[in-house]
Amino acid sequence: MSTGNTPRDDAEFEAFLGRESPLSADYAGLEKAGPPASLDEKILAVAKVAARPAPKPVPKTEAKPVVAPIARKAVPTQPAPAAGAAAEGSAAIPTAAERRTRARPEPTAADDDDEALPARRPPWLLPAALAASVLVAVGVGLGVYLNAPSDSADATLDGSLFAKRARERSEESKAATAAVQDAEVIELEVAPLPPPPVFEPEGPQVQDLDGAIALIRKELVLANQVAAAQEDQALELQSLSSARTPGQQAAAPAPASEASPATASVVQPRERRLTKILELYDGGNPDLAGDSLEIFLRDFEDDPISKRIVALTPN
Amino acid sequence: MLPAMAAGNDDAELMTRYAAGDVAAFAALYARHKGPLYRYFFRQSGNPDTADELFQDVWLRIIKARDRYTPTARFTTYMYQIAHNCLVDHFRKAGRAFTNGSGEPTAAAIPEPVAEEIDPAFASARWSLVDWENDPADSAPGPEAASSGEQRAGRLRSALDTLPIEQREAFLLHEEAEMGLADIAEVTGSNPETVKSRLRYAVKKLRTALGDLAPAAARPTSRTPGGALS
Repeated sequence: MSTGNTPRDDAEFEAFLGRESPLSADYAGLEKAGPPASLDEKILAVAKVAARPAPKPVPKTEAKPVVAPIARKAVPTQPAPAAGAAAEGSAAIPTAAERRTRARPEPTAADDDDEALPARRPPWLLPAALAASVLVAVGVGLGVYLNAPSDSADATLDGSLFAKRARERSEESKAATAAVQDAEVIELEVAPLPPPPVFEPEGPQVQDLDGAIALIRKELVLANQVAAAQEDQALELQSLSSARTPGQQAAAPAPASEASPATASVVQPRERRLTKILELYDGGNPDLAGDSLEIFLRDFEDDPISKRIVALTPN
Repeated sequence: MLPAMAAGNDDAELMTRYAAGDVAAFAALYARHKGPLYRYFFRQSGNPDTADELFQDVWLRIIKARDRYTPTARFTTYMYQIAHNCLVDHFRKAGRAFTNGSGEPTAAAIPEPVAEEIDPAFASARWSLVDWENDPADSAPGPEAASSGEQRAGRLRSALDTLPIEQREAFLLHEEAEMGLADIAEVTGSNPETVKSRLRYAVKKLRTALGDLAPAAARPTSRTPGGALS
């Protein structure tokens, strides 16, 4: 391949750049291949779909015309063609504005009738619509209020009937409420008390409750007498100690068996529980007294009185 | 061919209108450029299926990028830049080198037409009307031989196939897209001098391939005695 450029080559190349070369004419004479029609349709369809979501700016002049009675016979002017609409091929596919214009025919003489103007409304239409709405609302409200079929189908819906039914409903409601409350009270009164808990002590059983109570009573009397004697002794010792001198009082130690009045007056748990048993028995609760006695027997099993009570046998 | 270079402004306006949702503008734009763009791909690939694929790819890219289009450059330049990139990707996938204009490719670097590697079956049949290299009419022209116009067309097609890709692209952009040196340089990412050199090589090779056959417009069409075109 020769790379040298002759003047002829330069001239031909300059002619080629100026599109005056026979080579350009030869190339222009080649067959004009083009895309198949199916490919054209496919690409145009894609372009159409892709352009669909994009909002198209609509000029205000192309907005829906205002139809006024004074301009009813006027011929609407065609919207001004968009800039560049005269481009090649653009006339084949009308724009949306053009389609809207074509879809709306021009008015003719027959359009002078009022019926031919869809935008005109009779002046009574709005009040009538409001009245109908109010009637429908009242009807629905009444239906909800009554909420039940009338006993007499031909009853007239006047004010007295409404008041009567309202009073009846109020009285029925009150009666029903009172009945419900009475029924609840009666139910509470009639309802049986729950059974008392069954107490089954595991300890020794009391065979003779009356005998046991008698023993307890004697024991408590004896205990009270002993306690009273101890209290008197304590008071006596206290009076003797107060007569001594302070030095002798400090030198002489208190006897070990001496008990203070407060200590002597303290009720022991044993005596307190026996006293409680007696109170229950004397109060008319022999069962509770018996149960408490059995618990006492179990807790003070080695006490002399417990042994004597257990040893009792019913008459 | 493009009717006029002044159509660039119209192209930008049509594209802007399409970006605003005017499908008719796109239809006009497509009708204006579909032929040259398709032939750009068809002459480069030699395969109608490949041309269809690349052609569709370019338009889909344009559609997809419609919102980002700004008319700062000619639409033709914008479109053929996309086409050039698609073609480079295609050749890269096919295992062919596409030099980026820095060096001057030689014919030895691309020894055979592109289509023969892509689709040998198509390459053997694509220019079945006239195969000037093996056409007996070329060596022994006679009444039964093809007309000189068809011979020139056949020789021109085959010579185009033998051109290096870059030279062929420069020639096609000049002839189909009616681009000047600066636009071709912008599309291909080369400098104008390189483009000029490529075009000079291409023109010289094509003229050499045509030989002494007179241009079709300058030579009368030879007819057989029966009156049929030979």
